[in-house]
Amino acid sequence: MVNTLTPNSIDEIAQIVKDAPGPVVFDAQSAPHPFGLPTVYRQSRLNRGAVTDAIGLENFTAISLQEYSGVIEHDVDDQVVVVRAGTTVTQLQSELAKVNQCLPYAMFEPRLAQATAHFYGSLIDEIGFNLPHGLSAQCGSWRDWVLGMRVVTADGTIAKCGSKAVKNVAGYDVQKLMIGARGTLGLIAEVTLKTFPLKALPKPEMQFFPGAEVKAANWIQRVLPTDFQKAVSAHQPHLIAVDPCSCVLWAAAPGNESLQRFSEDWVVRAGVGERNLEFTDLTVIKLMERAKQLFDPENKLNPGEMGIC
Amino acid sequence: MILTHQQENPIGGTIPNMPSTHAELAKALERLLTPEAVLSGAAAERAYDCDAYTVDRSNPTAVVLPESTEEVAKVVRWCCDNNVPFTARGAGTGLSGGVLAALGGVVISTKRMTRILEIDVENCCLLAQSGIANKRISEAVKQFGLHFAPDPSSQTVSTIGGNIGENSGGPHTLKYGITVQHILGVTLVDPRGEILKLGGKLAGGPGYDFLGLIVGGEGTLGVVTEAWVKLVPVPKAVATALIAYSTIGDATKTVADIIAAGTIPAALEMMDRGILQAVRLAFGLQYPEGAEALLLIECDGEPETVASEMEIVKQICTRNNALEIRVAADEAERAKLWVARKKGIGAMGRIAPSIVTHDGVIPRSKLPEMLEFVYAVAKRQQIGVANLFHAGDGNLHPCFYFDDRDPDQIRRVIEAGEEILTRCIELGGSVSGEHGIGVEKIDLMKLMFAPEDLELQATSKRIFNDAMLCNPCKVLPNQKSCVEHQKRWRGTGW
Repeated sequence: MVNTLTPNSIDEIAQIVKDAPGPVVFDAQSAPHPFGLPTVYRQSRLNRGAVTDAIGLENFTAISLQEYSGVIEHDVDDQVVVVRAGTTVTQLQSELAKVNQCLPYAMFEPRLAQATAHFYGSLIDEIGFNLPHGLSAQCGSWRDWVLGMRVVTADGTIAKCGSKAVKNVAGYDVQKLMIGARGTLGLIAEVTLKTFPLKALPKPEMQFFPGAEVKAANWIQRVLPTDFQKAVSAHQPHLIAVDPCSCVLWAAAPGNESLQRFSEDWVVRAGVGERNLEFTDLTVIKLMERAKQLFDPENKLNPGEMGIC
Repeated sequence: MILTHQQENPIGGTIPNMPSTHAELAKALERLLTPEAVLSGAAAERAYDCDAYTVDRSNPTAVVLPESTEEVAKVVRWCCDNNVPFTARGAGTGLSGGVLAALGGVVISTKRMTRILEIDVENCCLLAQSGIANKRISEAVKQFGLHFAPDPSSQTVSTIGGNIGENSGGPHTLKYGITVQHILGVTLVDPRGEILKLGGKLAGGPGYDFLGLIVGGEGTLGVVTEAWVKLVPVPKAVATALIAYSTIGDATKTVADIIAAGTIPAALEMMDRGILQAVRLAFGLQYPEGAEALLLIECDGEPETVASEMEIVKQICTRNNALEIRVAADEAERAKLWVARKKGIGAMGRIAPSIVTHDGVIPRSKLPEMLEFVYAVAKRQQIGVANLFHAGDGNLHPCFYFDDRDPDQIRRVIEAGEEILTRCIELGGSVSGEHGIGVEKIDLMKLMFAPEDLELQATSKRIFNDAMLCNPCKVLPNQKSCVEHQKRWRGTGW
């Protein structure tokens, strides 16, 4: 892999993106996200060809935000925090806890770190991947907490979306498009988040299964409430955790095996290459391709990461 | 009659088969649907020339009343083929001119699309056509102990399609969130007339969040014809209190203290003396002598939690010099306490021929400062103002009352609005918390967003809409051939 650049200002990030001759890949830990697409598939997507046509890694520019972390501004009374996207969730939570606030983001306990290593990433990853957590039914998820962002676009422009107001319907919600886009539409550099009083934080109702400590989750599935018990029974031997409130199951599926699917459900996977993120709805694929084309016409930002060309 | 608007081809180039008169256009639409599904002529133009933001007006050429997604798609495709602008419209209760037929053309009314298509009680969701009134959804599932949580004050008439377009809020957003949090999926007729289905019974799947863009897209990204909405249990217990204060400062301090205490009431609303007077006149509601501000606070959930939350609220109110704390003893009394809030703006109609309700957001802690500013502006511009707002999330609604037959009063009202919203931005807030940008606030977008921010928004819009036919001239400034039309909408030419 090429040298990873570690910018420490948003202007520097923008300059790197602007100057990059080829694809730009980024994640704060300078390691691929467990649920992300393996590099080889990213390369092939980039080339829009077969895996064997993959272009050399030496043409990639890698950015890590590990030097771009910390709270920029925290308005305690208004419960709004502005934070650099290289900050880890753990770091942010401990900052917020000092004034009895938090993000209602229920990570697994540290003893289960292997199961869900992704929870311990930085905001750019957590928001980029937007995976379920243990309080999503009770307290929502990133799309409910992110009030605004500063992003670096594919041409190296710094743009703002949203605002610092807890309620805002002015203009198009571009920040929502960035959440879960795995960095393919823009690089999230700064985030404005709504915080919660610790006192009001409900207790997660997640259940953990025997052997959870030694398993790594590679299957996250959300099913309809009417299918939840059926799914729990079907996946039982492979389950790490379930959240009955949001009907989400975390499992370690053996090998490349696919577990049982249920009507209207959705799944995110790890370790199965291209099938980590599988879209089957043609309408959605077409729209995603169109969005990517408009935001990043040269397919420069995290190419291939969303599993579309 | 000559069709003037469509002859100014909004996207340039030649218009091959464009109908040349209003009558011809209406005839063509009648052939496409049925004669009963098309309204045209002076009465229709007049009835559909604006929404509840009455400052700007523009006549549509014809109004269609489709009954299904397929009929909407037919109309949209016809509009595309004939280069005719189109604008979807629900109940027309919008407050920013979002359904103004800015360049004329066809208004697609969802008035006949009011059917509930599926209720899935076990999975707590419901599929309905977009013309259904918000309140009707809750009424339909009441028997199952469920409801649709977003409750804009217009909910008895405003449609789910309109709520989606504006990403509407309401008094209970503090605890339950706004429309976007309650929409699981939509059927959208895109601006080219293709039918897209996005989302479904389960929210939060992988992929780009297009649904999050469409909700709040102000009808510029296509016509939403059906929606899957989330249903939540009706709270087991509700306690509502109306608290009177002799100063605005005491009321705003109470709001800050409640939030800081970690209590999240279902509603935390504030009204000033202007609203009190109007409501007293309209409904004969009485308030304590010397009341300058009222807070309406509602706690809901499990009975024990509600009781303990209300106890904390009452203590905080007392500590902040409340004149009177009135807690509703039963449902009838609760409804009465809400009258002031939900009918407050309506009651203003008794005071003056016209009202304009603004919608700005500021960080909660800036409420006292902002209110003083609003009063000062109203005084300087010599217009009446009353305030009612969602204090819990810093969303204020200054309501100006004036006479719209006087162009100078209109000018002063608009100026006052712009001064107030500019101040909201300076204080770190937003020019709209729930009413949208529409045509009303389009010029203010540049104050809130830099050109590169707006460009990013324009890119998002282009995913769905890269032409000028689907609800043109809304949300984003600098749209081709819209600027010259603004004076005409306003009808005053100033």
